[in-house]
Amino acid sequence: MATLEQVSPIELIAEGRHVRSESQFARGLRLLRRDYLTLTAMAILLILSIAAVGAPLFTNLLGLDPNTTDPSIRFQGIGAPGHLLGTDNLGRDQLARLMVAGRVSLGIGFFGAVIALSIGTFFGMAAGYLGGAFDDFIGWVVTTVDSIPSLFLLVLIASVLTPSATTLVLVVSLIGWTGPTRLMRGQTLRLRSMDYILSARAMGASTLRIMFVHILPNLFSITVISLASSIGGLILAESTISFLGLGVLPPEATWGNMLSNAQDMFRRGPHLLFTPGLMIFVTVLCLYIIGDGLRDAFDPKSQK
Amino acid sequence: MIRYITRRLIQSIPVVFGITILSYLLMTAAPGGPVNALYFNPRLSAAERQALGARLGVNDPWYIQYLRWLTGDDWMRRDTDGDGVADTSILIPLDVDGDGIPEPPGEKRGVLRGDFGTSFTARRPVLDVLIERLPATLELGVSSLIIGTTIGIVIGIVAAVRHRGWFDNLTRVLAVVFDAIPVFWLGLMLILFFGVTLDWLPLQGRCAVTMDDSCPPAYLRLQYMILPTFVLSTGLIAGYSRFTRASMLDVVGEDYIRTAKSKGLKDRAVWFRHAARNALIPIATFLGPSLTGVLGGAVVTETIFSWPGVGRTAIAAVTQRDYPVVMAVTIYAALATIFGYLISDILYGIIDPRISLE
Repeated sequence: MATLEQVSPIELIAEGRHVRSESQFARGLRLLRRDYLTLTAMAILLILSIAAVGAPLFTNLLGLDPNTTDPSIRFQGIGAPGHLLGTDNLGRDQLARLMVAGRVSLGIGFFGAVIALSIGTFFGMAAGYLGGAFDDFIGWVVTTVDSIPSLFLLVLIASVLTPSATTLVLVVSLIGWTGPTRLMRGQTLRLRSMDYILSARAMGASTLRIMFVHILPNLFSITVISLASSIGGLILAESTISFLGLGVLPPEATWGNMLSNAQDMFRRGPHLLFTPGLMIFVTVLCLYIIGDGLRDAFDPKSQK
Repeated sequence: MIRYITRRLIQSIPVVFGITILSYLLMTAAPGGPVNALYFNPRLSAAERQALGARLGVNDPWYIQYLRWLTGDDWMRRDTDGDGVADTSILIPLDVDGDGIPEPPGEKRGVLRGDFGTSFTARRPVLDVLIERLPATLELGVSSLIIGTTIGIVIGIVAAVRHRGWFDNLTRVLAVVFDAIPVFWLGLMLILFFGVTLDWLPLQGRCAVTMDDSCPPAYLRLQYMILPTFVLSTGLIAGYSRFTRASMLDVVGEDYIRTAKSKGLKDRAVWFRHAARNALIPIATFLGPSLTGVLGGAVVTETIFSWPGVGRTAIAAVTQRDYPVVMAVTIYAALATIFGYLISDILYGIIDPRISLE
């Protein structure tokens, strides 16, 4: 879904499709520029993302390998020479592992959220616009999936799939699509009753054309706004699954399975327990703050 | 009222139906196939497996298999004259493997009647395994629900009373923080601090190890309950405090609050007798989601604290590929959720006379 990145609402609106929207966007930017909490969260997340995406490069530069074991330097504490964040039970460098793990965790969260939001946008729009039996069917599926507590659903799906980063993207997107579907359905219902849709229909536009040309662009802004919180929620879900031992399998590191691995090392390596969880916490917190900030700045409904 | 409850019950039938379909479909995708997953002792040889498979109806169309799993086969192939040999059947043939001898009468009662089959690892009916683990989960879940709800509501009320004060700001920050904190990490950090560093509380378990695996009554082992209960209730505290605060601030704008204030009533009376009472009404709707949260949270909390409950059993079952147990736990959790939402809707209707249930 490269379109999500390329055609942001920012550009759509900046193209001048709606004069009112443009001012709304400018207003959002102005609000955002003064929202130091959100800006700080963005900066921290940017640093984390760069460290994660460039992990192979940085670990090479530092001369560290996340999977090299060295029994002579097991359980080094934070600040050990050559190992800034210490080493784990096999003598692997914790910092290098955290960075590589971040790549997996952030990647799963990001792609999971993109897939979940795409599914949600598509089905929500179709259900909202078409109504009738299709709407009832989608409503039934969403209610069904939602009535299984998401952790049990995650566990159930994870138990039948062979765990890997790719399947985990699927697993988390399968639980993450119901919320966006509800949201987009509601939005579509609102848009459907607007005059410009009526006029498009009067001019003989086909159902598909109305959905994809007239409604979809107006859903993009909400999609992008909800992306941040979605990624946060799915990173939490992924780390829980990996922590329970049903996610990505060692030696490939994710923050969740690093914690799972360190679970019984309370006395020998407390730093191994501390750092992966802190990374999850900070990442998710930043994403939630950014999500809230973007919503406050750009969502017309939240403007007072 | 009765009409409303009946209607809500009827409305949840398609959802329950959907849950069984979803679980069944997922299980048919399980490695080894539905035969292994749903009916079999994994130690059988391939030939035995095939023969048993045929007799158990693996070659039947999927909808018959689903129906058998859901409703059992004791009504499909029956023994009417009591000689131990099946003589009537509907939907499925009497003699499946074609050896001229009718198959034995069906014995499965089906998921709808609580028959999830036999646990692969425990080699006992799934329901027995789960019922044995239920008290530990209930103990943790109920205490967390009570503590989480009480603390959450109190914090929410105080935050609304001190709107925009330091306490209010603190609780708003903490609510976001506790949303983002991974429950398992919080648990591990608390064990590290209170269990290892300070050595005040036991690291894990439900009680000190005993000969017969049983535990004394809860009040004799409170030190074992403190951390898991707190960890499980953090989500509830965050949720309830935010919800109560929003609800209180909504109510405060109402005319009758202004009236009460202008009558010269003390702040305390206005806040607690007039505002809080009405603000708490919408909180009834929060029961459903909080039940879901506790059920999901119990899985993680029980795993961290080695708490011998249903959640930990479920995780063990997944790693051991004990599908009947996984299925049963999932379906019961879903039923509990549906039931929780139903109860909260009904409660809401009873407490708030303005809500029309018709």
